[in-house]
Amino acid sequence: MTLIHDLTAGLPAGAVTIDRVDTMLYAHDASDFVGRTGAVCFPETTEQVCHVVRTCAKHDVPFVARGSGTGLAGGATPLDGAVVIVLTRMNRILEIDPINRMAWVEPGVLNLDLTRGVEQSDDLFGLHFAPDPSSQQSCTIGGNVANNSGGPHCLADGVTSAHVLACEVVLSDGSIVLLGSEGSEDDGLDLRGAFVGSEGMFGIATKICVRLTQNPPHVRTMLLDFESVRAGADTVGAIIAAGIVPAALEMMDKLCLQAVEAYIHAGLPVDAAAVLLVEVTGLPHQVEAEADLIARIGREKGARHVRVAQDEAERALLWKGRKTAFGAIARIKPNYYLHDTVVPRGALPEVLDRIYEIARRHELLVLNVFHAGDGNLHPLLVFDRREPGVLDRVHAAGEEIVRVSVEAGGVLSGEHGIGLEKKDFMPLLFDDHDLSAQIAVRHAFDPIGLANPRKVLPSPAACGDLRHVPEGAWI
Amino acid sequence: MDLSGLDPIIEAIRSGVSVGVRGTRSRTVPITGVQPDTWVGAPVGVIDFQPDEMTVRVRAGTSIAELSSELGTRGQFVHGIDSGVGTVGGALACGRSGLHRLGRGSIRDVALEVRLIDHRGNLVKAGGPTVKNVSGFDLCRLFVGSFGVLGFAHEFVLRTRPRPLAECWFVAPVSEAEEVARIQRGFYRPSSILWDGREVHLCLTGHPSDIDAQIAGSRFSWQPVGAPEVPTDWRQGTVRPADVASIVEREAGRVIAQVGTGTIHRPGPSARREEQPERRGIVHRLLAEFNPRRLLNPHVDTESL
Repeated sequence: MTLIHDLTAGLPAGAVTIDRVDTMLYAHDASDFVGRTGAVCFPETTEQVCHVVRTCAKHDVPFVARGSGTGLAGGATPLDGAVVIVLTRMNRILEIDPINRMAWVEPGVLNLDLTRGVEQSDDLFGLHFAPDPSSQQSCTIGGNVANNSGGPHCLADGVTSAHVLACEVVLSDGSIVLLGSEGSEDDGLDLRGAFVGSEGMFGIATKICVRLTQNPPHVRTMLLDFESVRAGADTVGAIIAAGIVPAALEMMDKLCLQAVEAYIHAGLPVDAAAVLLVEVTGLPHQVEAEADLIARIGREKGARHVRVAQDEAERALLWKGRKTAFGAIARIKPNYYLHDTVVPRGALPEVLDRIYEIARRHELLVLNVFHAGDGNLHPLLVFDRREPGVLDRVHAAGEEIVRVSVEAGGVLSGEHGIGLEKKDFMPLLFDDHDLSAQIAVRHAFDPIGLANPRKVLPSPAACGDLRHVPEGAWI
Repeated sequence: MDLSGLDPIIEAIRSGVSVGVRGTRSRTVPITGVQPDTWVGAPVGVIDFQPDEMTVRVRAGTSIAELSSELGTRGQFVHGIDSGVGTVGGALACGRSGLHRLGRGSIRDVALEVRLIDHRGNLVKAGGPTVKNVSGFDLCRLFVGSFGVLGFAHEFVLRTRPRPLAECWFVAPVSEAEEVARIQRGFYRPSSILWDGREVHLCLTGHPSDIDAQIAGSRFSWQPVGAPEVPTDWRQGTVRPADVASIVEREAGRVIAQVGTGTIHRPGPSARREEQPERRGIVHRLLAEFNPRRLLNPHVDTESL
């Protein structure tokens, strides 16, 4: 029996396709990488996911789970004719417990739909799902779990792992396991914690128990503008050092400001070198005290103006500026490459200087719009891919940015993941022993190595997969 | 990296005998009858506290008191490792979040980087020093709470946080589960809600005026009280948070529940989790990879993992 015949046998009509357009469509995610799709499946239940995975094991074919395909690191790119398991039809919120603030959801639920589904719950303050990636209107909870996604409001509340209590997971042999529990304080190994952020290489989450967070009753959103990027970056460190962890602390530089202002007309200070968008939330006295202190720190560090949103409409406008930055950039050049590294907050001024220098040397435009509060840089290299040789310069500049970030004491990725994009940079952070430990954990979850192989781990290390060669195989 | 203090541990592991690691023996772990051939202790000392980064690099054998004192100079602390006896390594090896799990989250979220010695005596690093990081698999969360059977952690980078302006405990007589639910719904992000079937202890943190306003607006008769303590000979277990009400009503006075998290404290040994063969399979494969001859902490009962 062929792979396609066996896949079709356990799925509803129309849930398997090898149509050329479909396989091309699912050969990539939102990154630049294009893979090769063996087949595309659209399961609707955990049992159907098990069937697909078991069939892949029978035919020794790799599989890749996929949500909306918004990943930027190539994590959902199928390699070697992998079967793409599209989970967007598993999109139900199964159960909400507003008292204990948790919900069971399927992996295809969109991030923003989850918040919309729980916000009217029976809680004095209302509830939401805290991780809020910029793609939250289209990315799925399953994708958030795979990438341990963040977002602007994760500074105070933590990234996805802090908001996932349990996952029902289909392992690569088709068995089902529950990792974690609703009461997530069991003694012993935190397999749930290891699973979150494993980029689809440990198995497929088919049900997820998420923690819900009370909405803040009071919010202050402020925009501080500076004559130098360094003054803005210094302010970030000073705010944190003063004992304030804002709900969000974002930075945009001049070029980004100009692009955004031309796009949304929010009255942004386009002559500033940089702005900080700061949001403090909580109960009223705390919010007022923190907002006052942030304004004072900002002025001491050279802020020219401190604009405080006067109402929800103005707050929404300021956030629209931040969240539509990537769209606004199309006014400058048709293409962009978005990087994602993290550096210690104290290194922000030096690393930003280096990024501008790298872009200048490669004759590229760079815009910076990023999560300054946790040092999570997002340099955007903008370009026109029709320009001969420009992609080589973009990749060379990107590699330098990654190296500069790591040299400054930083790490490869804060929220996009490693995927295909950065797997060969892993040795910058980890030596052979460190990588062996990661390979060992991967093998513990997926001994047969069919769950999204050849991602995350650098190419030579991926040879570790050969440790589990089927009997009779030639090496 | 300063490797002082590691040589005896590496030597012991490489000698091929079974090795146990211990700090002040202040925490209970599930044990077997087996004793290690030799014991080692972790190195001590706070290496680098960066208040502007809200991180601290600390050796595993450092006492909780020393770490708390150092961080306290800048008004910061590490959740789950901020009070009590024992060592930093011991607290993280056991992975218990304490009474503030509801408001502050899990202790498994505080370890940003873990450096350990593996079963071959090699130095291994997991995670990284920044407060946000998805570079590779999240081994830190796996090592926290592993009772030292996946390797001996000797150094951590931990996430610190500012101490709240105020932290106040209150107590009120509450015997009905519906009333407890009303408290859960009506207070903004409380740090802890404890219920024994007769009284609720509530911990609020933040600006003193906000705390006063929340208490004043509540229909319960709250009285200020000191931080409660769970009897030291009681053991911690976990249930579904939705089942807490029925358990506490049934066992009133003989149980303390951390409402909203499902953590239950009772006298005597805690019940074992309902085990699934698929989960055990992963655990066994992890042990086969990280502790193949069971020479690391052989006294720990790995069936409890």
